[in-house]
Parts: sequence; C-alpha cells; structure tokens
Amino acid sequence: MIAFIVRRLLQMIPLLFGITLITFVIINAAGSPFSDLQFDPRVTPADKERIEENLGLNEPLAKRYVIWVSNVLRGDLGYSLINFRPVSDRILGVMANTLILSGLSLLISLLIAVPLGIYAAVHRNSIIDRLVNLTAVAGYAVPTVWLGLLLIILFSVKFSEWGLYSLPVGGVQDLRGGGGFWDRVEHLILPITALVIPQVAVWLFYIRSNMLETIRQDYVRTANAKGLGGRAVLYRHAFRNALIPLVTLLGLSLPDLFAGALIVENIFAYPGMGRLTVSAIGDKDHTMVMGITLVFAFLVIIGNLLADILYAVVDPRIRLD
Amino acid sequence: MVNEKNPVLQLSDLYRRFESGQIDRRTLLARAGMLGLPAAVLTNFARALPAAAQDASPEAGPLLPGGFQSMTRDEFTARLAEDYPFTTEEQAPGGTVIFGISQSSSLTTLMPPFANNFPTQDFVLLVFDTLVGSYPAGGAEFTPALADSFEIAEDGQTYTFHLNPNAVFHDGTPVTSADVVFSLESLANPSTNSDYTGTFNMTVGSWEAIDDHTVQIVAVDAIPQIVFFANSFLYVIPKHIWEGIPVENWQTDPGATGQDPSRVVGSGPFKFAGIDEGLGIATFVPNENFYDKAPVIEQFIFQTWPDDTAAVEALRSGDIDILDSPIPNDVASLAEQENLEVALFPSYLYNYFGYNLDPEKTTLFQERDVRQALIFALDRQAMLDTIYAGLGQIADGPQPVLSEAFEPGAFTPVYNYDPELAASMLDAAGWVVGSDGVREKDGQKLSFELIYGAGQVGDQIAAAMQDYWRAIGVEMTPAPGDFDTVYLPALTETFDFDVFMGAFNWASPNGDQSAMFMTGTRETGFNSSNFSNAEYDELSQAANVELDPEKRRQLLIQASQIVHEEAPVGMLWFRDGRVGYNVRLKNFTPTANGRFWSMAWVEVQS
Repeated sequence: MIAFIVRRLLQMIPLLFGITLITFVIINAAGSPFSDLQFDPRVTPADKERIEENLGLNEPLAKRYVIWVSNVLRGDLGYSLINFRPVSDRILGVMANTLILSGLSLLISLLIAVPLGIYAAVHRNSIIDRLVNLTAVAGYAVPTVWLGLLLIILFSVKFSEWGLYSLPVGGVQDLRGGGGFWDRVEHLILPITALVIPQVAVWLFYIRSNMLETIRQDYVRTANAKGLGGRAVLYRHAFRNALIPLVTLLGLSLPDLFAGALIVENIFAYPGMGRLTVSAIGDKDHTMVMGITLVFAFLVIIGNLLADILYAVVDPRIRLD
Repeated sequence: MVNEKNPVLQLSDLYRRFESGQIDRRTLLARAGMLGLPAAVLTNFARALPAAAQDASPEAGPLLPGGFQSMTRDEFTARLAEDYPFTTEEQAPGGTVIFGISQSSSLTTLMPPFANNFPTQDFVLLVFDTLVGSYPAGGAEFTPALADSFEIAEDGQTYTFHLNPNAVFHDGTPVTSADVVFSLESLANPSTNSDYTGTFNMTVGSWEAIDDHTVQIVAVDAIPQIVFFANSFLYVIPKHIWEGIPVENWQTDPGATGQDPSRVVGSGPFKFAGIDEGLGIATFVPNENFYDKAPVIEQFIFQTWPDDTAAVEALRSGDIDILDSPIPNDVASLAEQENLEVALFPSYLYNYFGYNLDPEKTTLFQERDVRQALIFALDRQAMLDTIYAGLGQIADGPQPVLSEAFEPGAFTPVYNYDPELAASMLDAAGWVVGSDGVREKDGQKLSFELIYGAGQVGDQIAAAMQDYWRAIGVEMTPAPGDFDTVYLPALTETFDFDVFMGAFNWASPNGDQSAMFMTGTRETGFNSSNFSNAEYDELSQAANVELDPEKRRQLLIQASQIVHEEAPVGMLWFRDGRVGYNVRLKNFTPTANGRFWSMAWVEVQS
C-alpha cells in the first residue's frame, strides 16, 4: 500500500508539470491582461509596452514558465496581475466560503439521494420510482443559470413584493449589520438549492442503479433464502456493497469541493473559488489562473489517489499493488 | 542631438528643421506621426505651423491676454446651491449605502497611479483628492478640489494652484505642496508603473512648490488646458507614507492593494476601511475632518455582482442601493418600480463602424458616395430602440454628447434613414444590382465582411446592419471574432478587414479626435480606417493650439464636419450612462461627470 502511494505521488510530478505548462500556453495565447488599455485615449502604446516590460510580460514564454515554476517551488504563487494581491492570499480568502457551500451541498445531496435511491431501487417500477426518475431527469436537465435566476426572482423578489418572508438575492451575509449564524444560513439557502437539485439527480442515478445491481446478486438471494428479514438483507448486505462505487465517486468529487461552483457562485455574488476562477479567466489574470490551476490539478490527483485507496479499504478483494 | 528615447524632444527637433526650411509641413506631420506620440499631444506641436508660430513670438504679445482665473470655492458652492439646492440643506446622519456593479473584477487598486478603470477610479477618488475637479453637470469646467483655485498665466502654460490650507490626510498630517510635488514626481517616473506616465510627461514640463500651499506647474507648451484634459487625474498622495518605499514596489504594497488599510491614506471625503475577500466587498467610511462637506452616512460599501441579471434583481429587492449600468432592457421596468429610480445621462460612449480606406486592403470604400449610402441605409433609431432600449441618441457628427464640440444640427448631410436615397446614390455611382441581387461595378461585387468583437450585442447590431444593407443590394457577412486575439489585432496591427464595428469610450470632453482621424495615426492612434484629409489635419491642429475656447470649438466643429461628410466611419449612436438606485438614498444625484460627487449630501432614509 505504501509503495503504491509513493509511486502515485511520484507520478504526480510530471503530471503537474504537464497540466501547468498547457494552461500557461493557453492563457498566454488568450492575450495580455492589459489589452483594454489600448482604448484609453490617455494611454500611449509606449505606456502599455512599458507596463508589460515592468511586469516581465514581454519575456519569452519559455523563460516566463521557468520563472513561474521556480517561484512555485519556493512556495511563491506570485501576485495577481489585476489587483496585485498575492495569489495565495486571494485563494485562501475565499476557500472557506467555497468549502461551506460545496460541502453542505454535497452533504444535503447525499442525504436526499441515498435514501431515495435505495427506495426507488427496492420498489422498482413503482409509481414513486418513476416519479423519482422523472424528477431526477428534470433536475439534471435544468440549466443552473436559469434555475438560479428563477429561485432569485421567486424567493427574493416576488416573495418580498407579495409581503412574504423573502431570502436575500446573493452575497455571504447582510451587509447592513448582519453576520449572525441565521443570517449566513439565509444567504446559503438559494445557492445550495441551485446546486443540490442537479447534484441529487446525479447521485440518485448512481445509487439507484448500483442498488439494483446489488440486489440481483446471488448472495442477496442467499441471504433472503436463509430467512433474514428484508431490511437486514437490504441494509447489512446489499446497501454496504452498493456503497463501494459511491465511495470512489466521493473521492473523485473532492476537487469539486474546493473548485466551487462556477455558475452558482457567479449568480449569487458568492465570493468563492468558482467566482474567482471565472473572473481570473475573464481578466486574463495569468498568475491567478496558473495558481488556481495548480491547486485544482493537485486536488484532482489527490482525489483520484484517495478514491483508489478507499476502494481498497472498503473492498478487500482489491489489491493496490 | 536627438534623444532617441524622448519623442517630445524628437518632435521639437523636427519642428526646428521645419522652421529652418529643411522639411515641409507634410513631412513634419508624417514624421511626427511615426514618433509613437498620442495624436492628442502631437497636434499640440502643430504650433510649428507658420500662423501659430508667429503668435508664439514675443512680439505678438501674450498668448492668453489677462491670463485665466478659475472658479473659487465660494463661487463653486454658490453655483452648486443654485443648480442642486439640496447642497445647502442639513442631512440626518447614519445608514449604509451599498454600491453594486455587474463586472467580474473588483476594485483593482487603492493607489491612484494604478487606477485605470471604472469603477476603481471613482472609488479611489473618494479617498484621494485631486488638485481640481470637474463640474458635476458635465462639460469641461474645472472646479476647486484640493486646490481652492488656480490661475493660468498670460504665457498660457504656467498654472498656479492654491491648496486648501485646512486639508489634512486621514492620519492627521497636513497636506502641503511637498505632497503635490511628490505625487507629480512619482507619476512622471516610468518605474512607478502608472499607465498615465507617458501622457503626463508629454504634457507637463515642470513643477515646483512656491510655498507650503502654492504649487506651480508648467506645461510643455501653451496647450488649451491640456494639462488637465490629458491628466484629469492630478491626485495627491502622502509623501510621508510613500517616500521610503521604492516606486517599483508600490503596486504590490499592502497600502496599494488595500490589504493594510492603515497605509491607505488620502485626504478625500471618505476613508478606506478595508477589503474583505470573504465577503467580496470593500468598505469606505466618512472622513469627519474633510475640509469641505463631509459625508453623513455611516459606511459606503462596494460589492461586485458578476451576473448582471442577478444584479438587477438585487437592486429590485433592496439588497443593494445603487447599481451601475443595469441591463438596458431592464431600465424601464426598474424605473417603474416605486422604490427605484434610474438616472440617465449622456456619456462618452458611442457605437460606430468604420470602412477600411487603405486600397491595399480593399478598394470597395474609396468612393464617398458608397460610404455615405451605407449610412443612409441604416435605420439607426430603430436599431437603438431594439438593442439598447432607446437609451441614447442618434449620432449627429462624430463628437459625443459630452464633448465641448458637440453641435447637433450643425452637420450636413443629415443621415436620416432613407433606403431609396441610398439605393439611388449607389446606382449613380455605377454600382448596379446583379443577377444575384448584389450590386457590382467593374466586375467587383459590393460584398464584404464586418468584423466585430464576438458577443450578443455585437451580433444584434451586425444582424440589423446586414438586413438593412441587403435591402439595397449590399452583401455583408458578419464576422465576429474574439475581441483580444482576433478583433483588436485586425484593428491595430494587421489592418486586414473590410469594415469594423465596435464601441468607443472617448473619455475626454475636449473634442480633440485627431487620434482617430488625423493622417498617419493608424499605427499610433485609433485611426483604423486610415482616414487622411489635409483640411481635417489643418483644422484639427489649429484647434489644439487655439487658446480661445469659442474659437477652438468652432475649429473643432469644422473639422468634425469633414469627418461627418467624408464618412470614414459611420457613427451609429451616443449611449446614455445609467445608474439605478433606491429612492431611500435622498439627494443621490449621479451625473455624467461623476457617479459619487453627491455622496457628501446623501441621506439614507428608512
């Protein structure tokens, strides 16, 4: 096991190089973060060149990549080219928000999807099963942008117009003296809902089909034939085995927890990793994009590793080496 | 000896050679165009032209007889009282104001030399004072700010500023001339990494502190108030905070990024309280020690709302109090809502398209009739109504509404929607409709591509133009491309295009558009069409050395007429600026010259 982990960690190094190199080339091809200056009548072309020179942006691409890598190896992700704050500070500044939003969404999705999925599988082709399937397909198909805006218009704007209890449109807390626990919760309800609806759908499909597969296995029939009660068979035998692929998926979704939700964070003006990523790309903030990519690439690799390890832990038949 | 590094010196060398008869005026202009100077600056050196040069000689008397005396603070206060009576009233203190903007990036700096975008400049100028301001109602009139008043000497280039003696920085240190000099020095220093250093150095020659509260600035030449037009942003930063820090490190200093609020020290009406990345906001609080009217609200919060539809809903629901530039199609419904109001005002922003006049790229637009006909064929009002909810006005002439030289009705021909006229003009010019419905002449089809930065609004405008032009037998193919990697290089580097379409924010009221239309400014300015007209060049240069405002205005209007008639570009419309706000903000009055000038008088009503 340890040899396996060490090997995988070593494999990570060329992988990280590859990912960051590709990102570096792409984001540089997208142009300079200072191209807007071209349209400021008070800025001369020489000014734009001087600024790019001062920031080292006119050096050859290869040289800049080497500089970036050597800085990263010294633990320095550099400064954002847009607001000149350290990249690491900006990432750390919003990480907690993202973990709360994504973590709660995942937790709630599982709390809904697991029992529903099992129920639907056990009562296959019942009305409830069909209803669950239909809702799941709908939930999965709904574009998040549309769903988010719809939630805002209904629960924030219309509810307040109708004199009902309404939820805030966005942000993290009430800026007019809020900040308490309930205030934070109020601000999370709509974004979490927008995230949970499609997530539940995905988890439901997995759990339902895994469960279906499991309850058709011979050992389940054996357990039933032994005269064990329906519940005991379902939960002690079938469900635990159906969980194995679920564990893998959880490991793989680890980076998502940190990556945040690109669309939902944007709509709900929620300062998190997703929103940071979108604005960094939009601004062509090279250093910011590189920093974020590095963090995500690292997390994806770790997530995969974790999934493999967990897989071996929950399924003794699997040997890692 | 010509200093290779300084284009201004190179220009004066050219001028000397012109004066001694070594080169003629056209050569002077052509060479000057290659120096990489912004044309706005370049034209100021057209003083080398014989007529102007004689004016400059000592025998001709002072350039600016009697000099110029700016408005004083008392006069400013009195005028405000007349135009905006609320400025004389008392306001109840307290309350939070939340400003929202639908834009991906947040405030990019808290340090004036690096503020190069809206809304950053507006917020930085709440914290830092500038020497002079501009009158809120618009136009090019200067008002007192840190300077109670200023004079321009008879030579037309020496400016004397009288600082307010009561001005103190937020940490209690008095503001003196030394701070002004320090600020100017840092702006002039290329290592500071300010975007505006180049323009500053080409317009401002020298500066010195006369006494603790008097500063003199000498412009490189007698330029009509150019010092401020080019550098409307003469901010003052505290010497005692920044002098110990190498300018190279300013941009990433926690006092510039806002990470250390105690080092963000200005002398403006608001103090910076901090940026909270986790909340996605920046907070500003009133400076009770402000030498002029101090704000009474408790705090002013900046918040970005990346999604513009959600931002509109946040304004509707009251989550935010002010929303800058709400989606045009939402403006009507916002204004209808009882608790909201939308302020509309002219801006410097316009939409336009331009023909490529370089015959090596395309020969389709060499005839003026073709260029004019294509403008006549467009129902610009209908386009503006559909695409921008009618928020703006149809362009009449090339000068935007806020320009000093804006003069609707002065220009001929009037490009009213007239497809029949357009068709007959093309007929007369020999462009006849072929079997496929597309006009042709000498075997060449009137068929071309329209390039623009990819986006929904661009698609809408292009589609409308395509329809209108198809109706008169002209085939246009929309060619959207990524703004930075396709559109911009075509416009500024390769010039490989037939017709371009875009928007421009000409953020200066002084009416000088030579960077867009003067000969030889394709590479150095914004003249992507490669328009060249000797009469325009002359008028435009004459305008930029004319110190008499009204005479200057007339020259600009004449120059604009040439652009209007020759039609290197088709001006579509001038757009309105728009700010939606909650009516609980009493006295909030955003105008073209400033979103926040009225913040000192804003009262938050419950």
